[in-house]
Amino acid sequence: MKETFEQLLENNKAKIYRICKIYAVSPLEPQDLFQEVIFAIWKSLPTFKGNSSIDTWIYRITLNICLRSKQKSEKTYNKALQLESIQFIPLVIPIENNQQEKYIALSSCISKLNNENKSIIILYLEELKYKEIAEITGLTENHIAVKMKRIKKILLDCITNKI
Amino acid sequence: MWNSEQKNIWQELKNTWNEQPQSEKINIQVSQLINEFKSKVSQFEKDSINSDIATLKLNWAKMKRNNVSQFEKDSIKKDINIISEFIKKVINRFKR
Repeated sequence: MKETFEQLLENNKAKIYRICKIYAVSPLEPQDLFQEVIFAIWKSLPTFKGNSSIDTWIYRITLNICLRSKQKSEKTYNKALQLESIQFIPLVIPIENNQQEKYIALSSCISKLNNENKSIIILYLEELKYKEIAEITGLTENHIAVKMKRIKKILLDCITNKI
Repeated sequence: MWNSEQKNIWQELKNTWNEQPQSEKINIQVSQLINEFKSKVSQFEKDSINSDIATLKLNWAKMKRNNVSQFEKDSIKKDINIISEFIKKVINRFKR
């Protein structure tokens, strides 16, 4: 199990963190949310039956934990998980201003969407097909297609105003 | 139907998302992580069990020996009568 878990973390840590960065709202830091997601994955791994792909399963857990964290108020949020084995090392790499600006505009606009639309657009940006998005969110593929049309319009309008 | 310009825009947005600036590198020491998780789970389980034991003890203390309802007494009496009758029938059958 350790080998599978290690591989799983290496293959998925980047995308988990991308999603955590969108959902983490002060005082919750993305690093804290990331740790909660990893903990949830570790606890649930023995129960993974292979009914879906491991990627789909990881996305589902990540989104569930992120959505649950938003329901916790400032007062009730408990920073119980302070894991020393997960380290976030700052990188000193020059970032292109234009790239940074685009990302900030995109993440800001995504953050304004409601939880359901947020999940859908994140999964779409993660290059998942509508069928996979439907499997994760519990909506039908047709419903996803309809929602995507609206979400894309909202997002494009928002981003156009920002850039 | 999305035209090619819109498709390009969305592809660019996907690239922006997937190639978002990395401000930090994530290092995970898995063996240590699993040990940390196990200690977190153990403490949670201990707390849960202690809480359950405390609840049970409180309930046991409240329950008195003669604090049995009339319904329960009647039910038990009825069951005993049924069993007694059955045993009598069995004994009588053997006597024949």
